[in-house]
Amino acid sequence: MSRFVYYLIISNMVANIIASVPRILLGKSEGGAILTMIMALFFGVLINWLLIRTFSSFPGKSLPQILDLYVSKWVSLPALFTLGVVWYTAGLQTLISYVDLLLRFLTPEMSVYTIFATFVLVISFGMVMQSRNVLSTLEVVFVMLLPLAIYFLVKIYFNEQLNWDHVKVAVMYIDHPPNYTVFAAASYLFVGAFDIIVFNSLLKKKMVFGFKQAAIVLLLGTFTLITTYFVPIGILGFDKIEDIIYPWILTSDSVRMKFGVIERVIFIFLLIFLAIAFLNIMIHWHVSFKLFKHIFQLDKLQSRKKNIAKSVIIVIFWAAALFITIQVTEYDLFLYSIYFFNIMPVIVIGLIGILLVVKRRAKS
Amino acid sequence: MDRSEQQTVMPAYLNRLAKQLEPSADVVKKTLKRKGDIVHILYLKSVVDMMQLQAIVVKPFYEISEDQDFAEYIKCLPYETKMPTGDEEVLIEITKGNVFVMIGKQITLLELKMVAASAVQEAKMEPTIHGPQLGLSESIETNINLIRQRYHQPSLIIETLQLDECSNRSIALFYDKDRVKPKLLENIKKRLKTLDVELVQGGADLQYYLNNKKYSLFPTSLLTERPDRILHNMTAGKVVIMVDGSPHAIIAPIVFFDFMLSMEDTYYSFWVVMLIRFLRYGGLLTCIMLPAMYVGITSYTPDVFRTELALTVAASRIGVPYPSFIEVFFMLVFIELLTEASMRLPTMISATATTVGGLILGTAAVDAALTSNIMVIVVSLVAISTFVIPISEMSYAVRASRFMLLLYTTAFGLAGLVLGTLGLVMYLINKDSFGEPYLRMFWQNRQEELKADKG
Amino acid sequence: MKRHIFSILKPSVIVMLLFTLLLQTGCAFKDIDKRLFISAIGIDPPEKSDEGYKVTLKVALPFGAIKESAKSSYAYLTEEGESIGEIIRMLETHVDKVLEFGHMKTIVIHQDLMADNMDTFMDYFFRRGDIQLIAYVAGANPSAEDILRVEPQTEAPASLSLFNFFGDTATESPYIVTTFLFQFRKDLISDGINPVLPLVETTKEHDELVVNNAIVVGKQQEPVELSNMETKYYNSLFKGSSGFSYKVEHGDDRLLLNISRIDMDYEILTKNDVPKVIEMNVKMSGIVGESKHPLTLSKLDEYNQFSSEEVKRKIHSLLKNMQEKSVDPFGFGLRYRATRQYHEDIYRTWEKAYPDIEFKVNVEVKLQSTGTIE
Repeated sequence: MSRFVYYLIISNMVANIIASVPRILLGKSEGGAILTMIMALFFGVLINWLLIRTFSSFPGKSLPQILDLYVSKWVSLPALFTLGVVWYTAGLQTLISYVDLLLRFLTPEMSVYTIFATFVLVISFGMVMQSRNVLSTLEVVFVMLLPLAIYFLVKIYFNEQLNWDHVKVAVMYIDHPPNYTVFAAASYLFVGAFDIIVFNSLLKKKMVFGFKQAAIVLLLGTFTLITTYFVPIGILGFDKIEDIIYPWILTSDSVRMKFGVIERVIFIFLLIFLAIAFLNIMIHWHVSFKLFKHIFQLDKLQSRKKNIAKSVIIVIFWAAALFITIQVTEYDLFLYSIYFFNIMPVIVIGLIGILLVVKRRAKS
Repeated sequence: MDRSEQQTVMPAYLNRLAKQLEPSADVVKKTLKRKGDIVHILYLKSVVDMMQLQAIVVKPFYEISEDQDFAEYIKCLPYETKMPTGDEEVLIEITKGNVFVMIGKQITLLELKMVAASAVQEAKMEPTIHGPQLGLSESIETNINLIRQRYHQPSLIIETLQLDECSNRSIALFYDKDRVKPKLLENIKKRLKTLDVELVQGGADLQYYLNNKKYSLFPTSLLTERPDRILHNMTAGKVVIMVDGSPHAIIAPIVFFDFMLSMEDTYYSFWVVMLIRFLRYGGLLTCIMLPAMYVGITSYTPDVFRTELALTVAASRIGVPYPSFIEVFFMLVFIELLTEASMRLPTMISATATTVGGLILGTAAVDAALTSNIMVIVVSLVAISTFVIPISEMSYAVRASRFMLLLYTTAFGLAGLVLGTLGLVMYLINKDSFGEPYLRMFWQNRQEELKADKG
Repeated sequence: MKRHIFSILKPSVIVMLLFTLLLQTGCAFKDIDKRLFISAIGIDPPEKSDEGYKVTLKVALPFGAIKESAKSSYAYLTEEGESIGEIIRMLETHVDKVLEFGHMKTIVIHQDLMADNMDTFMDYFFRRGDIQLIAYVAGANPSAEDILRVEPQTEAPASLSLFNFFGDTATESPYIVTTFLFQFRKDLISDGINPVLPLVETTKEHDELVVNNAIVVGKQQEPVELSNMETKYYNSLFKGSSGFSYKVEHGDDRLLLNISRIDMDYEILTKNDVPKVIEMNVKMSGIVGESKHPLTLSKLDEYNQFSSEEVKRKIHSLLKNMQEKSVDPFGFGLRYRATRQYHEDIYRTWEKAYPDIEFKVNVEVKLQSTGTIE
């Protein structure tokens, strides 16, 4: 598997730590969260396996290209359109959560519009950038953030305030029956690799998803899920954890750097995760943008018209995002996120289904 | 008419050439006459080495015995340059310091150049403690010599070509043909040939023209005066371009990290180099982000500071009438002026300028409560860390980009700082230098990946 | 193609940036010297009415030259009202600058308020995003306002004494319990543990702060004040604080032990699914710090033995005392929940069993030397 696929997986896992996923998981902490997470873990590896396996038959081809070759327009266009919308929503969800977070914790007095405007420029740039450069950005930013992220994780795991009794209390609920929403939210952490529906056109080498790759994904997933779920419980306590809207923000605010340049770890956390959330939004919207570009066949237009059309798509993206950001309350966001997560496994299975059909056709 | 008389008169061709050079005072046309033999020479005395001319052409002409053929002798001289076609080209050769020799129907160009500025200069812009102390010279011959002296490989190719501009300088391309990528070489040559410029004066402006973009902040090729850097890059498969009369060479293509490399790095042990690099990248981050960070923290999120620091900063800002971003902006402009002034002044005066500007004005500004003393620390830190960047073009670009970041942070706070920095990174990644990506991580299989990208 | 992108983006970027800069007249842009940093907040019962609270804010004032000003300088704002948020809103009208809560690091609560249901007023602190969760929470005697108004002689400018007490960067003592806001919240809402807060007191002259007691906040019960000795034991056993020194008397001998390491673990033993016994094993190692009589190394074992006995008795009485007051600052209940499979009655079982539970304490003191002299 190309290292970029790992980056995509990791960025999606990490970005969702701040958003609604932990809240959904912790919301069912007295229900079957743990059992569900274990199930989601294997489901996650499975969908990654299926995805990479099917895509490895088409090295260097993106999903739109593949569909164009083997499937009629009546199937491919609606499918791509759905995917475009889903990917747009995925980015939007992260965007809204983060706008909300910044508003609440970093600059409480700032207006929503200003915070929103902070993102517009850079993300638009990321959307129109060449896909190759998007992947490079991902890599460079990862390398830049890695030391900070490791420091943060070590700090949080070795925190003496991390009370293992609370963690154990949470573990005692292991025998509760699983829950679909939790399952969907937990397995959403694994869909990062699905960005290759567009980026696969850059991955010319045939990808392998063998035992080693599966083990790496499994480990990454286990670590992320454990961190996402148990660390807030250990630090904030097990009881009433479901009341907290942003468990991870409060968790990071509970860590203190005694001798650090800054004392409150929350700022390091917010800024690292701002960068990662930004990457996440950028990638999702880049994918969505590419899909829409393909659907409306912008590449066939002449360059002047193409630019106008591109700008129109970008403006629509942002206008919709702004409208929704203003309209949505925190509760709505949570609710819609749940709907979104609930739909996600269906979309994923549908996508894999299409890919399997295409693969069979390509063989015959 | 007598045969000999006929030949004493300048041949029409020579006259035609001479006429085009007139009325320059340094045009010399001479006819050497000896029994039976007549040689016409035409040259510009200001660029020709008279002693050599005397020793190589004039003296042998009179000393050579009659039965030997002087024409043959001239032909065999090692100084001969290839005769171009067309009057214009011949004239250009003459202006370069070639002596035009005409014996009967045989015409020859002899390169007897006298180069005033062939001395090798000390490397001023990129000094190192260890490593070679001398840089390039202003003469391209000397430079070619310098490179050949240091790189004994038959695969080292030096191609000279001429640009289509009015000074007709020669330009030399250096590359190792075993290592360079043919596609890249082709790309650079094409770019050079299609240049449409009035005048190229040296490496720096050629670099700008090669850049091909009117508005560009970061350099996409590197200008150096150090032979060791040239070789370092040449062995990495890059192409070096030199312009006659300029002590700088252009290296292309280039990636961002090349600008952060000082040649000193190759002369120290591993851990020392790691430490220096760490300092250098730290300096880079500091000088880009610190001013913006000051504004972002003091004016938007003072919670980031430790309490003691917050109080100190608040205390130092008491009485300062301007908001922080104006304060930072003023001080940055001030420090830029100071840097700029001390660079243009002769070394003796520049020390005074920095003292007056830096020390006296700085203290006075704090005393007058026009700025806070924390701000003075911040600005000096920024100024110092700018100089840690080894290549001055990059440090200019960085100086400019921090204003952008300052603006973005002023508008959007700390989130703006982070996103602005990411935007800058993205801008760099999106850039390319002669078709090669500008900023990318280096891993082992990089070449392979690049191939995959394009294939 | 790339150039086209720039040609669209560039002008819009510049226009947008300038536009936002112009808009920057009001909202979020506030310079640091236009803010007042609240460093501590004190909550007392009201004096004028029966309902509500009295809030005191301690504001750190930045001074022209911190190095030159010998004395720290603070301003105090006091107001009464029905709820904390309301009072703070009112206090905002008392000053010309923005009240900044980002550096509020100590919450001092009057001892009497601990009897009530504390989460009603603590809610404000949990809910507000810009209050750090790593703020310290402390009890106050005689009143929060008095404690905040104390400016000890040793206090340096720009560095509040209260922070140094709890911050672990300056003084460290087994008598000082440090409780962070998040920890307080965690213990307050979790079943099976009671939060413990340090108790800050002052001398009669109001020129010193004294922190050597702790207070156990009850949930339905009255708060229980721990003595110095109990505080020290609680801190050393359950919070892992170092610097424990202990005086043992044995006949005519009097030894002061400096304990450098304490390992404690305990287990809850059940009989018929009802917790019966808590078995606690404590291992201490250290050296003798002070003695009335000359010591001999050969008798170290003997010293070990009678020290163990003494320590054991003290620990037992601490545990017993807490049990009698029916509070559980040690989190035994939590541990019980953490080691048993969840069922609905699990906590009720514990609550029923706790008053009758039996403590078995084994202490093993290991003295390594008698110090530098025998």
